[in-house]
Amino acid sequence: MGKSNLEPVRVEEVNGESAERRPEASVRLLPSASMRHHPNLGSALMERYASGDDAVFDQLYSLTAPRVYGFCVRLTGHPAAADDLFQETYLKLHRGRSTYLAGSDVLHWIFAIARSAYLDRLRYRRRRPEHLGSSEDAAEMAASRSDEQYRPDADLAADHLERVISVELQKMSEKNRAAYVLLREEGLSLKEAAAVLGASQNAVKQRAHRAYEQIRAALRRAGWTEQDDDRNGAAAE
Amino acid sequence: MIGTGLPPSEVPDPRASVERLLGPVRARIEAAPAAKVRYRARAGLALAAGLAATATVVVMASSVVHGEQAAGLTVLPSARGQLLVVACLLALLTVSATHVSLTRGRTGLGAPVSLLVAAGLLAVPAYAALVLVHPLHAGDPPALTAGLSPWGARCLIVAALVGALSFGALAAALRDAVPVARRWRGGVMGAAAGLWSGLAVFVFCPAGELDHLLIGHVAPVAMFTLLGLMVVPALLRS
Repeated sequence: MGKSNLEPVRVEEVNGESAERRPEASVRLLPSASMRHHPNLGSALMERYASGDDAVFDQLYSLTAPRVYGFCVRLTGHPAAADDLFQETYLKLHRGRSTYLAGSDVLHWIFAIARSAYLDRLRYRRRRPEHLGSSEDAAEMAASRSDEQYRPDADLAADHLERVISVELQKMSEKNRAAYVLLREEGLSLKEAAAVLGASQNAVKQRAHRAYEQIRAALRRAGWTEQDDDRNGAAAE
Repeated sequence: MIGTGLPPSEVPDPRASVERLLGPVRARIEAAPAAKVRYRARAGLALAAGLAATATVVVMASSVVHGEQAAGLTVLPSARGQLLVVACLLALLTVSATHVSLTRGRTGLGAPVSLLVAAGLLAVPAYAALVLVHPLHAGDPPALTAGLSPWGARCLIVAALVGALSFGALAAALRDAVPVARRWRGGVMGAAAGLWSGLAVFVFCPAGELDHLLIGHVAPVAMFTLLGLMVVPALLRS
């Protein structure tokens, strides 16, 4: 691949706002909604990349990588595993770029690649079990902090909420987790999520519902009420 | 409800992570070859391979074995209407299964899984119904079908060759493409390859006996469907 002549488009510039103006950027894994604001830009860049224009890779990467990385973290539950999955995803995107359908949503396509790569990893790990540290680690890390005292501070409350959700996400099946993340966090429609997951809309709806109920039950056990949830959600947003 | 991944204290800054990973990603991409042939061309090649294999059987194998080109299409005048209907339906079934397995749909992520499941499950029964319910040559005079293997061994070999060629071409077209529902897509892909082989033996062979048709004509379609379900997901992983 040739060296890019173009400066990478920084996500902050694409969004038209700087990260410094958004203090929650350090908390949120989805630092921007860049692809939501520029779906055609992603598609146009991917079309150029698919036709062999290597120079646009950096722009494509800048536009898509933050959300893809967040998705990888959510799937794996472990930063190191997420790094590997993230790299694998872009490698597969590169290998399969000639198969991209012009005009389709590039981010959904990358999500599907990431999930497919993740499933391959799960299968590989099942065949050759070794400690890669992912979901169990996340659960252990969070459990070790369960004795921490809750303090009525917005950041700490959001932190606590995050922990409960994270632990619960890693406890549930991959199918439920992926459905929940795509629908609730990535903001995909039911139809889009079904296409990414290769399942029927009803199946995805049921999986996301099961995940949501599991998280709600865990939050209740952790002392959260619906009002707390909404208030702290708003605080973190 | 919010959701952001791991607890914030364990989550690396995503912007920093993404910037840190750009170098390694670039290095891996530069070392990896990307497919140069566009998907549409690959799919077209796969379709051409299926057609070419079937045509070869029509032109060559049938005349070598039966002394007549497209012996399976030689029917009594009273059965010509049935031949036309069955041949058209078989061709439609074959092309439809091939299309369902190869299409990227509107989303670029392939046919909906419900369509894949339906196509995968219906391909074999539909083929079997078309060739078994009213076998085209069942009422033919014995002279026409004399010398046929009662168990359809030659048909099985011809079907295996045509199916394997179609299977390979379709798998090559799908490699690195449409990373969703690979098992069912594999099943439909196998069924499509099996249907190409089924179409070839339909043209190749004038048999009308149930045993022969079951083993030599229908069984290959079922076998390729199963092969697709079991093998293709692993083949499509790069």
